Amino acid sequence: MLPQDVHCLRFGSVIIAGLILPNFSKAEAVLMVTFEQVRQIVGDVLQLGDRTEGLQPETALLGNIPEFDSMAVVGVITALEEQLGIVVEDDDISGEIFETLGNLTEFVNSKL
Amino acid sequence: MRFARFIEGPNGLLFCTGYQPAHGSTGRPRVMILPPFGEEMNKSRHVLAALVRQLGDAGLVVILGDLSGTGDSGGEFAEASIGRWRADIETLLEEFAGTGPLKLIGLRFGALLAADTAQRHQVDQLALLHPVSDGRQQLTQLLRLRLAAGLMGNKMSNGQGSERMVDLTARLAAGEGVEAAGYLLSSALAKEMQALRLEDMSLDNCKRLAWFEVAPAADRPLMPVSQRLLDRWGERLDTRVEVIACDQFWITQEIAPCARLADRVCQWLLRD
Repeated sequence: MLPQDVHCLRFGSVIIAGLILPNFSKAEAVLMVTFEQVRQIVGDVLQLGDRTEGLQPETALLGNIPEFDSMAVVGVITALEEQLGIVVEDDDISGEIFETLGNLTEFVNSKL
Repeated sequence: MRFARFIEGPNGLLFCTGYQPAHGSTGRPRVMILPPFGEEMNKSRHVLAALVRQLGDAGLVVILGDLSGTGDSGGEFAEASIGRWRADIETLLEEFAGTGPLKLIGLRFGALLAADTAQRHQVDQLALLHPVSDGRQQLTQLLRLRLAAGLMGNKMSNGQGSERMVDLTARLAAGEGVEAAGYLLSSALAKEMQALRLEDMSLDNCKRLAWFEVAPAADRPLMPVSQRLLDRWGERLDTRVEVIACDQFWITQEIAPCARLADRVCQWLLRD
């Protein structure tokens, strides 16, 4: 088995990301997977249900999604830490990170 | 018989609800349930109520504690301390003293308090529900609520110079209280909270332990910190571990059902 195949097994959706955006490099493809994970975590904490699927990287969070209050911010941070095994330094937390889902994804990637 | 009453506690009136058989509670198992505090408790009421109901219906003596400063009992949250909460727990255990075995259930920070109670009492069964394993996590979460509220404020006013975590911890260390999410956290409680850690606790007084974690799917692995603790305790203790698939109801926006958690906890407690 090629190392690449191993990678595909572990990150099944990389293949899908590759089909949609064939020019994406591997690093960017991994980022796409993380976007979906982050989206799912945000959707779970905010209990968005079907609305989760509609969230895009450019979707604004703070001040846009009514459910996104301070309790939700803390819930999302805690869930990201628990489920992705990252450690968030509290002084990293800024309004910018929570501006859009894309920003949040980028922040998570910087912590992986 | 369902009850809800105030008893004379060491820190003023102490409110408690639960179940007590109309006659003859002698020899019946007693279950004490310790909830989280603050917003987590508000979001958890339905799960705790389901536990009380199911265990009461099964004929156990059930006590749901309401610790001073956290709800309907006397006292303000600003005066709350781990020492006071310990004294409240002792009072409740004396009030419902009996000859039956003692079982403890703790949810989130309540799990930390339940394990702490097991340092002083013989416990037949201890159920820890998605425990806060280290009081420092609880403190961080409270302070994050304040920082997050600050983010919201800045978003509205487009202001600069938001608070930082180091500022808040410095204020607490200097003896000042910090208000977070409507609760005035005293410097003393913050200090005590940080000192409360599951890894420092021995469960030698417990006969059986159950550890329940709530995750998006039941096949999720335990959090690494949980695994470490269970590896240690599991060597000497009859231990059950279960991951329950449901929303983390104590932190969700709306009240989220998690009937399976109450069901599984009750099944474990009533198994024999």
